Amino acid sequence: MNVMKRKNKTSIFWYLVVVFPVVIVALFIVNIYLGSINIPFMEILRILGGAESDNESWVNIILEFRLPKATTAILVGAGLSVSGLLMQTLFNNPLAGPFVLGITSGASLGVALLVMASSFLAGILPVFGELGNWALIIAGCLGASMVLFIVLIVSFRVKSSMTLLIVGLLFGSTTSALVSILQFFSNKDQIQAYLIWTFGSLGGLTWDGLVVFVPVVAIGLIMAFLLKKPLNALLIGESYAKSMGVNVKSVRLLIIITTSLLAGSITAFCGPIAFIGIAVPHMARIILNSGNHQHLTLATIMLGVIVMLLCDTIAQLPGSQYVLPINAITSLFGAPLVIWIVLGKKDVRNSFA
Amino acid sequence: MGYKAEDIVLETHDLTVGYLTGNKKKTILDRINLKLEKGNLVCLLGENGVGKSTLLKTISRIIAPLSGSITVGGEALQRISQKALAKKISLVLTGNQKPGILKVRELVALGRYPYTGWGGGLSGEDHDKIDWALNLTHTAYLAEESVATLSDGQLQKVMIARALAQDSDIMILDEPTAFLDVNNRLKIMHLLKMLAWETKKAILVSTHDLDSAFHTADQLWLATCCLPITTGCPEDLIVQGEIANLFDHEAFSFDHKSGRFKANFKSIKQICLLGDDKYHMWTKSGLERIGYEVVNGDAPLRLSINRDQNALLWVLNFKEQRHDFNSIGELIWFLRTHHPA
Repeated sequence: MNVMKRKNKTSIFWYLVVVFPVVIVALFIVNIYLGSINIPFMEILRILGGAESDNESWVNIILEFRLPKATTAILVGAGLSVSGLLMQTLFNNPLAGPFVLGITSGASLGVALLVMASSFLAGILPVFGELGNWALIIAGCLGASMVLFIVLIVSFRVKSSMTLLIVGLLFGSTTSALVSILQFFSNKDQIQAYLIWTFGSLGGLTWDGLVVFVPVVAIGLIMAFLLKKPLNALLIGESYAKSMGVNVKSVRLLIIITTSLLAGSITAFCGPIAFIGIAVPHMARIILNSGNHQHLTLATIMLGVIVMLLCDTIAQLPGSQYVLPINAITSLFGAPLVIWIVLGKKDVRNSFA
Repeated sequence: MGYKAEDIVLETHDLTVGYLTGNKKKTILDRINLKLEKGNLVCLLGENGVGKSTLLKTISRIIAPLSGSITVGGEALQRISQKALAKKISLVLTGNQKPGILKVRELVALGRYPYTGWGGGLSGEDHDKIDWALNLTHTAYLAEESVATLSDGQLQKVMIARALAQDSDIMILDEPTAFLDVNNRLKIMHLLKMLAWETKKAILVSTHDLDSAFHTADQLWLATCCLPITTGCPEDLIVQGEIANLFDHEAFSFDHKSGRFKANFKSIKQICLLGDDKYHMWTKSGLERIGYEVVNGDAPLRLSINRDQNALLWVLNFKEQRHDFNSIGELIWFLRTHHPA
């Protein structure tokens, strides 16, 4: 029995300290190496190491385009996965993800309003180009914050988290309906601009954007770490958690704020990216064979980074000029992967509730 | 009552419990004046819906009282901080939410929540308490198992271990045996009794299970709709007829001589029973179940239990007729279908 205990402990330690970090570094380098323009591998390592290079345009491509994109992938993977974990534990529901609170729908509504209202305010609102990017981000942020505000008010009023889940889902449907109506009254250019936003994109962020994006995601991740103790208590239900000294209401509030911060900012900056938030926590649980947030939180973050870097590498179709929509790739390649893991490893019901 | 003031760990004063929906108060139990002493196993008995859970939830501060007050260790319950309260009262509920792939040891470790820092790291003392809780509840052999693989009985023991690890003076259990079979029910109740006696905790259990409550409880709290809660030692309550009052029903009633429930029949037929002592009691029990009264004197029906070599024979004599049966089942079936008297 003791040997088994030690074996499991070491394997978790092994994953967190060796396997995951090594895979992340390797994928990060591969992600930067592969692209439409072929740059020699050693040259990439030198440029990343801060050395000068003979080829100005290579430096430019790597530092101004590929590095910000890889960084964005890391932030998105980490943020979406951990917010999915928070939601699954709070609602004690394996199907919950970062978007169940309706935050993404709020961001979508903000963006849809901007894109489609621009026809009425022609020329005033820029939708394309550098400035248009910022306009989309701000619109997404405003939409997400608006929903967050409503969710917070509701969470003060309702006693059970389950009610909150239902309210969040219904709110999502309402905003989708509003977006549909907006689409109905829009021309095809606007609809296409909106559709492209829904494809998701990791390449839209420059260093200017990252200066805002990095601290926001970092705060969210730190909050997720600080919540790991009450999250463990919530695993056996809110009544027990309360009896053990958890202030359930304030913990719930903190979880909601953290998730909204992460999912809201990611959606605003990169569009709605599906699948990662729901699937990665399950993958982490199955790989570690543990639901204990003491190590599950970190494992989920690292695994999210791995999956996102992998998806982004696939999306840029190495050797070609095309970049596929990241939102399609995450689901297209991620879903079969998870189905394979879940079916191969064990009953998902046992791995969750 | 013979208890010293310092033994009292929890007291209620004119407590009214119920629910507040909007501005409407729904009172479920009122005039509750109870004292909970340490080292005692107390069983809260009552019918479904009488308010056992509501009372326990109020005492453990999951819901607020409608009026009156509760003191825990001399302090007013409402003034105690959430963390301090967790060190005074621990909880075990019915129908547990199964907590994913946690190991049993990790689940028990959750009980140390009020003692650990923000990260939840466990100290040497925490580990000692967890081991102690696992050993006392005889669940140490499960420590490395996943909670998902446990049976209901094992899970409930582990939840009790978790509550023990919380190291509180009071442990409150809301129908911990509701989903368990008879064996496991008795095991859990005996475990709780042992815990109360050995750890000097006050353990309060709500249950429907009268039988195991009689065999294990140091005190009973009887909750009846619209009446104050009656308390006392189980035997006293039986002798005083309180149990019989509580479980008074037209179809059955409590027989305080045998401590068992008996069916009430409109007409009682008499039967005279002779024979083997060992089988006498259960034959009598079977006859009473179908509405016969066993008498010693004269009766139209005469039943004797004969040991014939190895086989047992129940011989029924009635108006010069004789019927032989090889089992109590056959006998009862005959009596029910032929109504000879």
